[in-house]
Amino acid sequence: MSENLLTVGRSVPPIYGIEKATGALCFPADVTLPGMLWMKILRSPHAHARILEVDATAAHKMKGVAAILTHRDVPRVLFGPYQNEIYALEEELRFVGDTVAAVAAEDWNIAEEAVRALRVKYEVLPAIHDAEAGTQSGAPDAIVDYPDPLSIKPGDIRADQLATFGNIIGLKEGGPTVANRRGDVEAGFQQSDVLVERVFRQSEVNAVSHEPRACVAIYEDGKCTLWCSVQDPYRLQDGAARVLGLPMANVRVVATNLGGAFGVKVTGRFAILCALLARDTGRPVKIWFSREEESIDSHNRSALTHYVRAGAKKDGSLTAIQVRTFLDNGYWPFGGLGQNIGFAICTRPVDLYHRCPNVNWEVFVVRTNRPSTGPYRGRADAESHFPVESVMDELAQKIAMDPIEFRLKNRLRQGDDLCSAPKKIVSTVWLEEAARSGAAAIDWQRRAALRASHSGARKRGMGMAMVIHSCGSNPAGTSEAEVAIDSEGRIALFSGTADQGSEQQTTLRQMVAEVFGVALDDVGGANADTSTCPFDSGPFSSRTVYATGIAACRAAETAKSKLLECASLVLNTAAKDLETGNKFVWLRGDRSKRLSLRDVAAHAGGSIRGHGIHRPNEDPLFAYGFAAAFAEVEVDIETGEVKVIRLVSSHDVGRAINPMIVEGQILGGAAQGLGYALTEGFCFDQRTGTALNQWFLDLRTPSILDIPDIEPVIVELGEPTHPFGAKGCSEISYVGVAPAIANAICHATGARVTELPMTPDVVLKALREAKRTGA
Amino acid sequence: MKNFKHIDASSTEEAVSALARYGEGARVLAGGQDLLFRIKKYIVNPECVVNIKTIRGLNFIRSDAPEPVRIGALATLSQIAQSPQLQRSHAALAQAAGVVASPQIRNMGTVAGNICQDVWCWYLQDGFSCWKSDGKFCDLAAGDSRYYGSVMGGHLCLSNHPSDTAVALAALDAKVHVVSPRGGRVAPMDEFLCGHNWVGARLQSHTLELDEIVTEIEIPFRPTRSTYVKFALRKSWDFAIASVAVSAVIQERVWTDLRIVLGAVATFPYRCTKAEDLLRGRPMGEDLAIAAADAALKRAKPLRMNQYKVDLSKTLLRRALLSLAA
Repeated sequence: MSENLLTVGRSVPPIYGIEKATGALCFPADVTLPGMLWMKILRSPHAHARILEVDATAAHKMKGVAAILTHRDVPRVLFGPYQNEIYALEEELRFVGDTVAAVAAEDWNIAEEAVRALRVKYEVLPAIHDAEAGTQSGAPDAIVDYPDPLSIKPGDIRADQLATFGNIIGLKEGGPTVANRRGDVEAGFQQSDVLVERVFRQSEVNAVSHEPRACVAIYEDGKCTLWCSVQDPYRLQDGAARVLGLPMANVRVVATNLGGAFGVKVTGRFAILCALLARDTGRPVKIWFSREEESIDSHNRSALTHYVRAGAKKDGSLTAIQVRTFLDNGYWPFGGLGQNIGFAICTRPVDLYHRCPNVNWEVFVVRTNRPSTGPYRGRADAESHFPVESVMDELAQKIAMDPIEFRLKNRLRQGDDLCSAPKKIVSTVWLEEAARSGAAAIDWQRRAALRASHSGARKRGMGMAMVIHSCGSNPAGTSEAEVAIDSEGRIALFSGTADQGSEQQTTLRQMVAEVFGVALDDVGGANADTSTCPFDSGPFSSRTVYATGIAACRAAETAKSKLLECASLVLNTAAKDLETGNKFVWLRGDRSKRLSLRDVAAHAGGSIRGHGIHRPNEDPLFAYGFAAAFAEVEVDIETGEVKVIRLVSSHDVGRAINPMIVEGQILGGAAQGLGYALTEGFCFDQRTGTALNQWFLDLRTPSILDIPDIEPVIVELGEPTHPFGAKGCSEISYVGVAPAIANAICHATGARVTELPMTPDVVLKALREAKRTGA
Repeated sequence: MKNFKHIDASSTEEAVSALARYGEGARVLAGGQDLLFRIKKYIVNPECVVNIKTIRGLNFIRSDAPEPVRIGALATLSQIAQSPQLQRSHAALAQAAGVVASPQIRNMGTVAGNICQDVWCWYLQDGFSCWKSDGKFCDLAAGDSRYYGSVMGGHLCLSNHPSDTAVALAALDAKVHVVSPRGGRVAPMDEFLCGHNWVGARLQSHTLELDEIVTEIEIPFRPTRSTYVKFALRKSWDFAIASVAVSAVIQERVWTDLRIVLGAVATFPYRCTKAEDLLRGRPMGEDLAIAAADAALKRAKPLRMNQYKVDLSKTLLRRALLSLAA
């Protein structure tokens, strides 16, 4: 890392900032075309059913109805976001809200009226509403129909990923979906001085993207264009081409800016049906989900139950961790995703507490007739850290050790091998630095006195949690980038990655600008348009700044070396003696000997281009992001109200390319994590499986008045596997908030809350339980 | 939504005659914050919407002590919350109006609309067959009642009345002025809101006849102190899980002329006369406040998932009493 950086490390305003603040920026939901039809989806009223008959006679007769698609009308071709795992429409319906049919009509209201005029006969099938119940012998199957094995092609869903045993996704009857075992946990418990045993329950939550999913499709002359809110435009391009029977070159997907995505806005039926309707009607078609549709037809964070046992010695060394996790996979007819999340759940926290010798963590990923679950901000780690960090706190308390010191004693260290990434070792671990900086920011010293100082019904306490999360290293996907210098000498970055609100294009262009020694304003570009941008598997797992960043830097370096090569011919000097800066190429040591970028491009006879790629598994070193979350709370022990006074979110980000954007990501993640901790969570009707509180009000994301003072702390100690030393950090701040608050509640009141969200009724229950057991 | 006829009424006479004409097919729009949601989600499907916001002069707040305060049906919640006069003389109402939903909704929503709003019920909104749709069942009895179910029992529908201002108005002994083609009438709050009741085929949360509209609300002017306390999961844009309004004349620590009303626990603002009796004429203190809170919730019959609201309401009431006495 050079010390004299022009733009990297500076809080320059995001390139789309003004447009966003003024409402000028165009999102997929804003796209409106002349002659456009509106599409609406008929959704299943049953948790599990088979369509016997769809009578569309009345709907077809309605004025303004252009086309109707039922499961009999769509090509029987697999497509999907993860592998090719779903059909555009199916006879079997697997959750309340599943897609039955689609209508295109002159306006939104006619489409909705037509949907309601469809007469459908259903055969209601027995349904699974609870993951644990789904594993019982004799439980009905949550999914009955699978793709015909003969129709499955290489690259599609694999037969082994379809397998379930009693709704448990997995390869072995009676076994968990995934397990992480080492040592001998029983022996570990024998050696322990203290033991904690708890059951934790976490509710399913929605990402509540600001922009519900939208898609606008046009189909002309055998070519289809889709403006769509997806994070995986190339996946959608491939899926739409398959279903439409077109070569991929004839499908264009644009997903430049999205109104939030959080990992869950991926290729789905809505977009494919929109494309099919555009083809069938010959007119542009638009769908824009209602908030309720966005709530249920998304990929939510799954509901979980964890049975946890953990032991430690008096000296603070962990002896054993045993966990059995039941994860509600929802209806999604594909096991790979659940397997991936299950694997990360049972390995990442174990890596965080690498010194623990004995581990047995089993994850049962169970198919149910509920909405799909998937990778939402903080994927797998928000799922696993609540139980683990709660138990760590309790163990520390039992041996009267400071919770920070207890955790640090058992933590991962630089160079340790990783069970979450077999055969890899971790490159940098600035966890202790993040924890100490965070402790200083919240003034952890006050903690002991805080508890003594409270009076009356309102009790104050302080708690913390440590976090490990992916930061883009070793991603399950590839990133490519292209950097071009046009004949006017302008620099542009072409990247396939959608900007879903985390301002990655600004950050990426800052890095490219730095390579050339120019200002951010001097770098333009385009992104997430499959017709102009090279492939990127998308902004998932906080990977953009890291993986796409490496690709962009490589592209910039390649373009730069071509530029210098060309300039060297003109300046009659060796390329290695040249450098770039201020839109010039000049001789190192004598800047009067120079050429403008424009002149170099002119000599090159046109644009100069460089391509860069970052592939998974290319580095034996594995980078992780680390964080420490701190919460100070006031608990009203009579009402169960938890008031968060202050949050501190301290992060090992390697290096902040743009500190303002990093802080924005930390604040946003922490606020979203606050909702997960205190107010958000689906309530399902036990009888029908309906997500009762699918309404925007009842999703209960924190309002501006509910968000406390949040202090982001950025620890910048570098990361050698990234050209500028950066680690992705857009998700990790979500993860630690819930356990930090739970630990603060326990510190304040002695009551251990083991359920999310920690609503007043749940907190009161924990307080009663603490009173009963004399805690 | 279904297409409907939209009438901008220019007078109360025009409004009620339109309502009389369309009968059960008509709905009144006095702000639309509740009604439009229900129309869009097919919860109600009116043939005709009668917009009364176009009636001039119905958004007044008149205060001329010792005459009763008179508030026009179309006074917005923001107007009420920001009225310096009401903040002084009828604090509970100003406070209640100020914590309804969000600023945007308070700017659009009116006081008459707020007390006439229908229940916020997941089962009704999610299309379950129920007393308020086309069925004969209430899922709250055995279902998820944690936030919106009554703890005081109920007739047919067990959804609690969601209004904040109605609770304050009941505690302030307000009366509702109503007109219809047959003339006018005045109803005290406990008559106006007395649980879910049939009007034709409609199970309503208020007692307006199909051709009636609220024109104004009258609140007696007394030297009372009053307070409204709302407990919700969020500090903005949320319904109460429990709320309390108390008003009393307090002289030399002795309480007279007091009214205690609980919100979000019953199908109507729940007046606690037993607790009032206990407090009347006695100096307030911690023990008395606890006894009054116990008396107020004595007849509680919580549902499967809302037991905690009983203790929560007791705590809120005890605190409200002590804070008002302080």
